[in-house]
Amino acid sequence: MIALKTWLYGLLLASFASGTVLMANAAGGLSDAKPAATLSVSQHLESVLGKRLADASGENAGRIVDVLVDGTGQVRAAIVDYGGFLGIGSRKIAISWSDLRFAPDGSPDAVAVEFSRERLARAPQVVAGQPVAVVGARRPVWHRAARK
Amino acid sequence: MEEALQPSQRSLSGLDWFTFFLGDIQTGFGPFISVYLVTQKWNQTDIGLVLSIGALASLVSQIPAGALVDAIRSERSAAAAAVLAIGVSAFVIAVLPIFLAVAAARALQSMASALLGPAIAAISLGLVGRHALAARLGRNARFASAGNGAAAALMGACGHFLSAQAVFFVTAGFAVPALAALFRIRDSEVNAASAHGGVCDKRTSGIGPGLMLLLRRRNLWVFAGVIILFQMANTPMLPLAGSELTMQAGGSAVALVAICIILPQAIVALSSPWVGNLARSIGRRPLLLAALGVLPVRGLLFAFVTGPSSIVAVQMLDGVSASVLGVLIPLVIADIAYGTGHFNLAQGLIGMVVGLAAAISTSAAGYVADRFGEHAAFLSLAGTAACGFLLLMLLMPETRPSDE
Repeated sequence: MIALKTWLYGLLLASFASGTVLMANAAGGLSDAKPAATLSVSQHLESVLGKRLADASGENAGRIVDVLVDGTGQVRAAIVDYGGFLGIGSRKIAISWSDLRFAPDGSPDAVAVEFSRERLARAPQVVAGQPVAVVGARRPVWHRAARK
Repeated sequence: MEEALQPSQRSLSGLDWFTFFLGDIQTGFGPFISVYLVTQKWNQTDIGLVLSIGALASLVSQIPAGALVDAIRSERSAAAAAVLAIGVSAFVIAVLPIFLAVAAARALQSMASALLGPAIAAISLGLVGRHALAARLGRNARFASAGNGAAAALMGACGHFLSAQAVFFVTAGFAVPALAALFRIRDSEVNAASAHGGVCDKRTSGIGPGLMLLLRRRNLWVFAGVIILFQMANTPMLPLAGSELTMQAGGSAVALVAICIILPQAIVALSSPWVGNLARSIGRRPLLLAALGVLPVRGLLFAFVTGPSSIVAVQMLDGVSASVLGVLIPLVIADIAYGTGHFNLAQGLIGMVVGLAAAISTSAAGYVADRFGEHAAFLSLAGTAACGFLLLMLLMPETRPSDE
């Protein structure tokens, strides 16, 4: 009983403490609100997650769901959730970053790739924890996919 | 014996359309939710976490939901609350796609779904009584499958032509016709004692004593084992076959996967009332043997056939198993649990083990497919299904009551 109470008080104190820390962080964040010198507000920057990919014939080939980098932080491939109906039967495949063309024909939300549907459909699936075969890299590039 | 129940036409048609509209409020929460969350710039880790939260909430709420349906007076109110909760969840997911909101909505939807399964079977049993239950469950399965098929087509079109977000608005909107149909059922015609599977003895009321009472029935163990093996073999087959289709079929793959989902539902809609009648005339066992017998064949065929049209043809066998089990799972549970007053607790128990089996086998089959190929995955699923068939053949007796 006493042990339980002590434990509960401990929990209560800990939550207060963490709350204080959070508030302190928030306050610190506010006081630093001046624009930093290194920050560049440049052109149109936006997330690639969820962007639709068009194949060589302009057909919808799925959406970009992740981006893979190599050991140096260089972006090497996009993972695309290809095909399927209502989320069933889709395959996650990796497509070489250098083969993606962004904003083709001036449409900012689109991403295109010059691969045929057959080539994309037959690409091996990306499996967590296993080497990734990237479609379109001139030499096959092998990465280790991040574990979920 | 129980007095003859005479439900009105109004109540019966209300139940028809209620089961139909449930497809519309549940389809969007399937694998589609991950498609939607990707369009909302969610990362794969968060999507996986939300899906796991939903699966876990569903597992832990099955038994309490069953016990709740046994304990309450009005199954209709429970079902209405569940539909409302699902509608709200869909709306929240559509308008507020942030982690905490989506996780909470998904958990709420899972718990509400866990309540709906037993609630529908309980309303059916309470309306028509035990002797007409087989035929009524056949009719329920017809309308549920027609609703599921229509919902898949509608939601697929909605996601394709409008947006992934629109699917969740449409889902929330369908709570309205579902509730309208539900309230056509007259609460007074749902016999509470019948809906709960008899009057519960005071000494065995509550979850713990109820479970003890149910678990002393050997047939429940055997039936649970059979259904576990069935689900372990059945659940991963469609996603694996769909993935094969995506690889082999090129441009028509999306349409073919859609056919693989919708056409078996049409088969179920056509044949379930017939299955309901057969369950009365020839008994439960031959039908269960047919459903479990078809599954290993389907697994073997998937392992050996190639070509999109053969894959689609083999998937149609799913319609056979699904039409039998859609009717027979609640029916056999009613056979086994009748007289205990714990019909819905028994449904919750089976619901939990089935959910667990489906969750485990989906990842296990995915692992086998990644490591050893689709061929090996289909073979292992066929083997699992064959074990289910053997268990059924060797240990499961006929459960049809002698006076039916």
